[in-house]
Amino acid sequence: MRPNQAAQINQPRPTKLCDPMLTIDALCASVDGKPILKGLSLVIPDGEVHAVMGPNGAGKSTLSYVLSGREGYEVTAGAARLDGDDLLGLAPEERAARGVFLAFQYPVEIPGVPTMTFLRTALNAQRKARGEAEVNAADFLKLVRARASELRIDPEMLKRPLNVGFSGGEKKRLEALQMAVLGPRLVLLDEMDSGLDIDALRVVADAVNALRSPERSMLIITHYQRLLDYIRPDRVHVFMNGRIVASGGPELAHELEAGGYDRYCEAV
Amino acid sequence: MIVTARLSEMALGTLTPGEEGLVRALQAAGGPAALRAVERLRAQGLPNRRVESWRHSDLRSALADRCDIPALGGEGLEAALAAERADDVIGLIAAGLAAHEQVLAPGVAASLSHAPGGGVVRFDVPAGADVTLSECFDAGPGGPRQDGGATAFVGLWISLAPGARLRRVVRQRGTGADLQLMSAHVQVAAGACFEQVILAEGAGLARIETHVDVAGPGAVVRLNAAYLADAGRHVDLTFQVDHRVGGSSTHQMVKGVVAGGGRGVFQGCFVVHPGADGTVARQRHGVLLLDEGARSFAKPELMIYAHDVECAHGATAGALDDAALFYLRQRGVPHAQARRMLMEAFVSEAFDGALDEDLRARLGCELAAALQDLAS
Repeated sequence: MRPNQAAQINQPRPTKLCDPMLTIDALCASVDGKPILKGLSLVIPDGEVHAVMGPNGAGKSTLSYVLSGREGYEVTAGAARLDGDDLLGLAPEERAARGVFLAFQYPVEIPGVPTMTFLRTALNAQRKARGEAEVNAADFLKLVRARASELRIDPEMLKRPLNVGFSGGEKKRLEALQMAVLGPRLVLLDEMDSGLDIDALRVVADAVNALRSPERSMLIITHYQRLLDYIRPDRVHVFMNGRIVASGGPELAHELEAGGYDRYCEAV
Repeated sequence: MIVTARLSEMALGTLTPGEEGLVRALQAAGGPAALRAVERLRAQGLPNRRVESWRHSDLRSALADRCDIPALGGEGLEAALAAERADDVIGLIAAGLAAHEQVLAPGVAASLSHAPGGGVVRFDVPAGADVTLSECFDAGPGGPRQDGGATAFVGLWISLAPGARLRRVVRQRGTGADLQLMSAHVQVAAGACFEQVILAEGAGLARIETHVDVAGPGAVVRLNAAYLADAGRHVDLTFQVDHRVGGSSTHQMVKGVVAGGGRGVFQGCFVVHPGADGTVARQRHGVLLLDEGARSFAKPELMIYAHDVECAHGATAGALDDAALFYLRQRGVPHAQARRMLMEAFVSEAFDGALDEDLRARLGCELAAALQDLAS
C-alpha cells in the first residue's frame, strides 16, 4: 500500500452518472403480514442529506431495515435502487459492500467479538466484495486511530468487545467511527440522537457533517427536530402511516416542531 | 490362561452382536480385569437409555452392530481396578481390554494419543511438579477407517500429590462412525491445582467422563470445555466432582454449539460431602442450537451436604442472536462468516482464564478451524 493510500481507504467510490443515489418507488413492506410501508416514494440525489420525520409508529425504522435488508421485513411491492441498481434483491452484506450503512438506533452488544477485529473484518469483507485489495493491519490501525481521535474516542474503548458495556453516547460514537472507517455511499441514520446528551450529540453530528460529500448521501430518520439543528438537511419529508405526505426545505422541520404532526393526519 | 479358558466356555446369552464382540475381545485379552468386565456385561449389558447417567448416550445401541473391538491380550490391571468404581463402565472395559497399563513418567510436558481399542494410563504428578498433559484420539494406522469406524475405550487414573499442578488438554474428534469413550479419574490432594480443557467435536458417539476427587484443602479445580456437534455427531461431556474436605474450589465453564442432526450432552454433578465447609463450586453451561433438529441435553446438579458453602450453577440454551447477525452483515461481513464470528465468540468463553496464553491461542485456532467446518 502506498503511503497516501491509508487516507484514501474510506473515500466514497466513483458514482454512476444520470441515476440519483437512492430512488425509492412506491415501496410497500409488511412485518408479520401487517403492512407498514404503503407506497413510499423518495429520491435522494448524490450528495444530499434528507430527513424523514414522523411520529412514533409511522414505520420510520421499518424503512431503514427494509433498505438495509433485515430479515422479517417483507417487500410486497415497489422498488428501491442505489445508483440505478436494484437494492432489494441483495443480501445485507452485499448492500453494505455497495455502500449502504445503517447507523443503528440501538447498536447491538456482541460479547466475545473484539471491536477492532470486527471493524477490520467488516472493512476487508467489503473491499473484497468490491474487488479491492485488503487493508493490512498497520494501515488499518493508522486509519482507525486517526478517526477515533477525531471522534474523541478513548483507544481503550476499542479494546473491548463490540458495544459491550458502552454508554449510549459511546455506542453512537462507535457507530460514527464505523461510518468514518467504512466510508459508505448512502448513510441511513436511524434516530441517531436517541440516548445522547447535548455534548455527545454535537460530537456525533460533527462526525456526520465531516462525512458530507458530493459522492455521499444521507437519510436521517428522526421524530425530533433537535438533531436537524446539528445536521442540516437539504430536504425534509413528513412520514406518516407508511408513506411521505409532505416534503419541503429545512424550514419544514421547524414547522413540524411548532405545529406537530396532527395537521398531516388528514392527508393520510 | 485358566481364566481365559473359563471365560471362553461361557454362553453369550442375549447380548447384542456388539456386546458379543466386546465379550470375545475381553475373553481374548484374558486376566481378572477382563473377567470382571465380562461379568458386568453379562449381568447388565452395556449402558443404555434406561440407565440414568447414560440416558442421552445409548452405548448399547451405538455398539449394537460393532464387532471391531481389538483383542489386545496380556495381563489385567489390578492397580487400576483397585480403585475401580462400580458404575464406571468405560474404565472397566478399558482395563479389561488393555494389554498393560501405561505409566507416564512425570515431566514438564507429556502427550498421549489414544489409539483404537482399549487403553489404560496411570499418571502420578509428584508434589510441587507443574505438568501439561495433552491428549488426543488417534484414528489408528492408516487414518480414519472407511469401513465403519473405530472404537476406543480409554481409562485414565491420575493422581496429583500435594502442591502439584496439572494442566490437561483433551482434543477429541472422530468420524460419524467412530465410538470414542474415555473415563478419567483424578485425585487432587491438598493445595494441588487441576486444570482441564476439552475441545470435543464428537463422533458417532463420543463420551468423555471426568471424575474428580478433591481430597485435600486448598485444592483448585478448573474444568473448561468446548464442544461442537454437527450432523451425525454425538458428543457427551460428563463430569462428577466430589469435594470430600472443605476449603477447596471448583470452577467449571462448558460451552457448546450443535448443528442440525447433531447431539450434545452435558452432565455435571458436583457433590459437597458432609463437613466440606468452605467449598466454593461454580458451574456454568451454555449451548447454541444452530438449526432445527439440533439437540442438546443438559443436566447440571449440585448436591450439597455441608452447611457453609458457596455454590452456584446455571445452564442456558438458545439460538444465534438474529439482531447480532444482522448487525455484522449490515457492516459487510458475509452471512457464513458472521455466523462463525458469533459462534466463536460464544464458545471461546469456555477458554477464558484457562491454561496459559500459548495454549489458549492454540486451542483458539483449533476452535476457529473446527467452526469453519461446522458452519460450512
